[in-house]
Amino acid sequence: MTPFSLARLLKKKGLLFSILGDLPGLAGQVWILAADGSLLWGTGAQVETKRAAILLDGEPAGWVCGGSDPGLLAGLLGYAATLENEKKTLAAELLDRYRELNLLYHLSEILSGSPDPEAIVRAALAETIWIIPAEAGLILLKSEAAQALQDTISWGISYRIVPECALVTRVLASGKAELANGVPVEEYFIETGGLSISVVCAPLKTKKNNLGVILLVGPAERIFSAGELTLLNTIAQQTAPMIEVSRLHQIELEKAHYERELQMARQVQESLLPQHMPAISGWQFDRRWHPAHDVSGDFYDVIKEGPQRLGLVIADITDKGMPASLFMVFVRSALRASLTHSAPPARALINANRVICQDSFQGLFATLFYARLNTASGELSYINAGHPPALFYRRAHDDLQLLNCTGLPLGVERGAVYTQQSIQLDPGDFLLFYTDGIIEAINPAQKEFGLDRLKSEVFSRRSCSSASLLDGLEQALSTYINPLALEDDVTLMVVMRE
Amino acid sequence: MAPKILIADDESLICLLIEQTLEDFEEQGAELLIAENGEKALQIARAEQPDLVFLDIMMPKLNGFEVCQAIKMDPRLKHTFVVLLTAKGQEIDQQHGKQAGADVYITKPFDPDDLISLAEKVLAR
Repeated sequence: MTPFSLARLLKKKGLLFSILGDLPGLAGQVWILAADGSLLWGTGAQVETKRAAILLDGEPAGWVCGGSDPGLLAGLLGYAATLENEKKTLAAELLDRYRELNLLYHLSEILSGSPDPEAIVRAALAETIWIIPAEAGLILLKSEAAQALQDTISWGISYRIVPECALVTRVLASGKAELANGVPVEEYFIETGGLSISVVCAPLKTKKNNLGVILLVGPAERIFSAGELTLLNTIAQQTAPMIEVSRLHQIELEKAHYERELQMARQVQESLLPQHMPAISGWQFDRRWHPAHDVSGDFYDVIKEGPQRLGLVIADITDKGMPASLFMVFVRSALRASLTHSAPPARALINANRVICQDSFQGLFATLFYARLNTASGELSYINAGHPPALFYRRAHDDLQLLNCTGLPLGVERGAVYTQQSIQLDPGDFLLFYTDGIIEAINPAQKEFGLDRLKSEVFSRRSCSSASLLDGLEQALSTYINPLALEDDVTLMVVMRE
Repeated sequence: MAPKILIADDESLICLLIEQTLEDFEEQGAELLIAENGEKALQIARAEQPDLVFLDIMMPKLNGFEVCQAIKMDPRLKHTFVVLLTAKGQEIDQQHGKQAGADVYITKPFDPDDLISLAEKVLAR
């Protein structure tokens, strides 16, 4: 703000008229002088006479000379000077606030233009130093994972802040901005020259999080003011939500990218499953596949192993998500390579198990039920490698038989031996294969669906078609767990002889 | 002759803000004239023939467009440089302002430094 000037005040349109206009005939009798005695108003030769000071804050801002009562006019001018000075002070304050507002407006325009957190932090720092001149600036942010201050963006002289800097720790903990003028440099920074510095530090905080701090540094003679502290705090308050929003945006982008990849992975996985079940006269084949997540560790397969000979596989990898789905592809390949050989099922599984054990990773293994069906005779040979027992319905006995384990899961023991069993599927008989996802599904009371319930649901639908049987089981499961979602993959497959 | 700058806005704080922004010009001898409505602005413009006029658009009695048009149609004021001030984003205003003959259009919130550099250029002519 420029200092008060009586000359400028007297030039104000109408001021002198309103004060002097009611005092006719003063020209030539009254003179107004500046504080240094130079003539500001009045005509004619100045007569040596008594004078009165025009006071502003108790100090003479000028003089009124002449007239019968120069004190009256000096008092009026002093009052006008006081009003003008107050107005100028308020105007200067207003302009300062307006400039700050304008700069913040400009800053928000810049910051909102970028979705990249690092770009926002860099822009914020550059703009801040432009608004509050400093030798250097730093923004320290907490990393996403650790809660310690890690990410540092600096501008100007490269300062390295000391670990556990007391000022930064305090600001971060209290959420309040602080300044320190002319303080020892070694308390704040390492490997720097100079003896003392001035620093001002404000928290980058949102309603929920303290993201970090912004710090401005200057030499000792750079005295940061309380106004600058407030301004830095305002900038920090404006910047922090934008950093947070951009971070969330970044996370959302990464999440969307990951989800796209998962969708693709699921499509790839689905493409590896049989698109259609066999259509063989006198037989019904059907299946359901419900991954609990985007990708599954369950799979089923139907392999044509020869004339009137079908290989049926249902398997479950002992994990969920991406690792299980990748392992599933590996197990499927190993099985396909082994089972298409003319070797007996037990021999084929021993081979597949060796391959899987050789390349198994992170302790993953697979439980599996494999059946080789002669579609002409109805004879079915099977191996249950650590898998939940298949349910075998025999119409002649009107009962359900469990086809229990005959060997270890694949990928557990390289030297595992598998033995096969045989059953006969007559007309009206069927076999249900499933993964543990159905019997271990829990309801809101945290109780499992269980094998007994499965048996009961299957038995009650023993006269249904294969599709109706599976539809009914799906419905029963859904009702049981409602409103919960599946926690594990569920796969069902049925072979029914008409 | 000392340059004259007319500031016309019905918001006294905006007048004060522009007045303060231009205080260095006043210090150097320029005369700052203030009008709180469009009618007064036109009256002062005709009487004082300012070099530069800052006109708010939304003013009582006569709006900024009307004052601007009247100034530009007055042969004695044809060299007066007129700056129209209004809220940001009113595109239709800009079109209207051009038609009224405004020399420059500045949106609020304006940058005080923009006003200063504009005044420097105009008064240096």
